[in-house]
Amino acid sequence: MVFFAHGSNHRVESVTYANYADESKRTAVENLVEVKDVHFSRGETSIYKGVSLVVPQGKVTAVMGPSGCGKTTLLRLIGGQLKPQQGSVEFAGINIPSLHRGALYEVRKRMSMLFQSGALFSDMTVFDNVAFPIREHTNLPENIIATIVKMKLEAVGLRGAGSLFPNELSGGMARRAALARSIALDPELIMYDEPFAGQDPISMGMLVKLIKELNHTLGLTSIVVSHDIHEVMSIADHVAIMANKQVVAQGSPEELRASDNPLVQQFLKGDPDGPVPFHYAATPYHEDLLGSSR
Amino acid sequence: MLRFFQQVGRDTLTTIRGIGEASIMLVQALIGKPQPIKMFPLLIRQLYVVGVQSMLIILISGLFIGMVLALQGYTILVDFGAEQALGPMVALSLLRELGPVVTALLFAGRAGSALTAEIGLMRATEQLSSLEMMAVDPLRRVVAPRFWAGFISMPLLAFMFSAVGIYGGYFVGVQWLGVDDGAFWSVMQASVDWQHDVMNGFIKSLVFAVVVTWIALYKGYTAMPTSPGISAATTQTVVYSSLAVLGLDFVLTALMFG
Repeated sequence: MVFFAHGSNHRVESVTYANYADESKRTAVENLVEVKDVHFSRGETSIYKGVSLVVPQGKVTAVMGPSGCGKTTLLRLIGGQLKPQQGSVEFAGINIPSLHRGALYEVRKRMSMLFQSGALFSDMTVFDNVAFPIREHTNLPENIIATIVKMKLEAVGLRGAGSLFPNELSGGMARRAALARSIALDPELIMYDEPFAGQDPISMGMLVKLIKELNHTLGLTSIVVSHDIHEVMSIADHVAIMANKQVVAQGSPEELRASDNPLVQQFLKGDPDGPVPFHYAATPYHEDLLGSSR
Repeated sequence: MLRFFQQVGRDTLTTIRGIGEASIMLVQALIGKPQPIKMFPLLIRQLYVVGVQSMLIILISGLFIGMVLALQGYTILVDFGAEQALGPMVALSLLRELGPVVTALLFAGRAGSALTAEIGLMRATEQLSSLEMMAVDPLRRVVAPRFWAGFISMPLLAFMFSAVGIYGGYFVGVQWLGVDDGAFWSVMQASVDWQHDVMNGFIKSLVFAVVVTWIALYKGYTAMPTSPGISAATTQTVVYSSLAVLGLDFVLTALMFG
């Protein structure tokens, strides 16, 4: 297990421990996650029609796309909370949808997710929230757990806020506390669901820095789902853009900026109209006005 | 007409699917490797929330229902010169029927609705999803302790309800209306049978505990993660639990005393 302290001078130190997350179990594969030809629908509504993408190991992969295109759904498919109707979702070579309940929970110990809301347990302090996964999955004595938690909180700059309850935290602090909990067991993969949503510029800057540093220091693989193009492109090594129920482009930020795909350009430039239309599909305007009353 | 039958068919299928899902939820929550060291503190906490915090409403309701029973019973029995039968009338009414049934109805309104709202809010704030992603099964961690807490606490609450109700009947019948003290207790003692009356009441409250807690947990776990969704789930818990308790009470009474 790799511990690190995030000091006031923002220097990252690392210490190597061996307890829960045995480093030898980490899988050496080129792509930690491979999504192949996934079809997924909710009821009658089709969300994906043949989505394929890769998440290179040790890199920050950004998943971007218009609202409602199913970015969060992708994270839930990787985490095994949803099952596709067709296709495979592989994590470290393991096909997640084929796993039974027990095996799925075992695999989840190797991944983590930062939810948009933070999803901190409201009846626990920040300290206990971060200690929760360690207490659940290890038999470490309390003094060791306390040391680990303090180091995780120090990494996100919240060591002094351990005794606070989630309702006493600002939005940015709650997100950072949730991040500390997400890295408590040193996962191989961490998935960030809209980590910058609703954050002020200072908090956003802190989170951008944390995501990059954590990925580098802990040797993680990160998937960041976000709309914030500037922030995400600044830290991403690999970017996938989703639209029209598919991944329309993926590659390095430079490759995407140079892409001649009009949809990619519309998304990166934030144009209000283009391949993704401004108007929701409807009958012609004049017909609608001259037709029925509704 | 065809639409009516379509609607009936759709509702029937939805109900059967719901019962199936609720059964799977309960089995997955309760069947698994026992983890007494982790589960015991959670159970104690839930016993406090579900059981101890419901005590006040149960005790006060029991007291007043016992007092009303005695008052109503006395006005009828005294016409036949049978006021000595007031004790067994109050005790048997409470132990066989009112104790388990009213406790279950109050439990559904007090603790059942709270369980549904709590779990529904955990769903809405992604706490259940985050548990899943931390490889902690929310069914074992959240649902199971609450279920056992309801299962353990409701029969105890029903006994308390009956005991306090009997004392309420004693205060009104003996202290206020002048029924003979010795007759009140001795006729009650002679009339109440441990197996037939007390244990059957206990079995009823166990059945109601399972049904009410199960409905409350299932409705919370499957609530739409929105304000109207949680509101609807909470209402459904109280309505479905109450109807299930009253319906099952008839069936159990017919089997036990019919």
